[in-house]
Amino acid sequence: MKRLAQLLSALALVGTLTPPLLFFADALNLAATQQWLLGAAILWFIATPFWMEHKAT
Amino acid sequence: MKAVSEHHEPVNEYEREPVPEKAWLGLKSYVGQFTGEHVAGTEIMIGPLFLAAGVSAFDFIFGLLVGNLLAVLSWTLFTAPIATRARLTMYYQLEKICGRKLVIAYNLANGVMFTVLAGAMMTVSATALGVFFKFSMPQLTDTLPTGVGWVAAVLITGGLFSIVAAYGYRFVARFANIAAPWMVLVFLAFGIIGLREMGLTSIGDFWRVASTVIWKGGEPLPGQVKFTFWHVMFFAWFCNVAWHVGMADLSILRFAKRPWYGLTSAAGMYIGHFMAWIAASTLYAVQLKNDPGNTTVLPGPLAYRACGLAGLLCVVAAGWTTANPTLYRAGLAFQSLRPTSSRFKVTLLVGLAASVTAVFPIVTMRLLDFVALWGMILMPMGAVIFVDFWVLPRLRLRSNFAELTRLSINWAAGAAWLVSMAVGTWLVLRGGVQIYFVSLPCWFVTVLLYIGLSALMQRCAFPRATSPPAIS
Repeated sequence: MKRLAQLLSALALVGTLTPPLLFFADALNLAATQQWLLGAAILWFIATPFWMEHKAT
Repeated sequence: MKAVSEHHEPVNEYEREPVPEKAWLGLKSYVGQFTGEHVAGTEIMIGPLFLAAGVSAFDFIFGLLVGNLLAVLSWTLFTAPIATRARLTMYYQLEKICGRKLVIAYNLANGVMFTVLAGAMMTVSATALGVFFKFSMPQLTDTLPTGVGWVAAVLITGGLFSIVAAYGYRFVARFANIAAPWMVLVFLAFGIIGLREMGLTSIGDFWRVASTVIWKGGEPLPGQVKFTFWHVMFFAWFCNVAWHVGMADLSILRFAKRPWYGLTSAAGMYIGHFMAWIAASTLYAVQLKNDPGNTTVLPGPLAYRACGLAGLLCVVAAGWTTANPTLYRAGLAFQSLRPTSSRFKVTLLVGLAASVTAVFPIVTMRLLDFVALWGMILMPMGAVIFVDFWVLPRLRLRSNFAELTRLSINWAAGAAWLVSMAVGTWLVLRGGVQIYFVSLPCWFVTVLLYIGLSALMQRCAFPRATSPPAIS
């Protein structure tokens, strides 16, 4: 479960960086870029709490 | 601008004793810590203000490179060596030198500054609401609230932030940990999208587009000060002066295994105060290109235009996650005045005060000035610690004078602090020196005054034939 969540988080980070790069390369329009960014954000916030440790302060 | 992340909260151990070896932290902890702390909601506000100040590409990029390098060196050469030798919190170290009452005065000043900063973070997040609710938002030159919609948005945002900070500090601290890596990449996305929209099509063309299209130099926007290389450099160096030269980060770096861990501040500086400022500045350039008459600096709309809802989420998250610990820390600072008062109530009151300041856009629109003012006020205490630790023993004077003599106020430190602030204020108001530059002369004023006054006080306190009392 933890490994899967980590994999999904990694995918979310790739999904956050790749669309702007594709937009930069004229391979994706701005509206599609923004949709991908939103999808990646949702994925990140769903997957990451399952594995990211929180150090108590 | 440095956010006060949950890592920055005083750990409830070793607060009045040196950190033992078993509790020392490794390099990795500091890289993450500095990175998380310096990607704050206010970065989206600060970046555009450089462009509004008419900065040129060379002055901006190289000013940031040099200024951030000086900040990293300040952490490494000023803060970390003392932190890893004394291994005490800044507050305890200050109490030993200055006495309890002076530390309370310092805390009061700190609390006021944190409250205003939290207000600026609320303002940043409130601009996200404006994207949906189309109320009138402040212009760059506005000092007063722009209407009922704006006031309501800020108060609702501020109220929510305050309640959460009072009730659920740990929940937001956890959310901040989770959001940090994603936010860094969204800031990078701001920059990539912004540069493309400004006409950049290849990396090799960056300098031409940067210098002729984005940061063209020339006159600043109305009401803004013209920024040169020196302004940028000094701002980047001193925007966190309270933490490095001002020594507030003794509390963090006292856990470091080695003094050179101060170099890890480079991660925070070059991601938060280089990449993020450049990215946010680029978004503002896109706005000015699309509508030259629209000079408003509103992080919500800027982020939404580039990254859509994800950008908006980033603005809210960046503002929320950094306002939360800032409010908490302001609450702690004020609570130190009356330790028996409820932290919950104090945090709520601080949140209310921050929300009221957030309603007035003058602080946020003049954020660069506010940050410089913060440095001028709090930095002198770092100079006092520096002199007390390194210089006084070499002059055969005693360190930790307040502890040694059981004074509640060491007037050598108190006078050095007050005179330094007075000199800084005079230089700004009468001397024609801009506020971005006063922290450096103020540091020297504090150092000289503290050495001179300490020599006088110690001559009176310890006549030659008498030995200083032993520390109990």
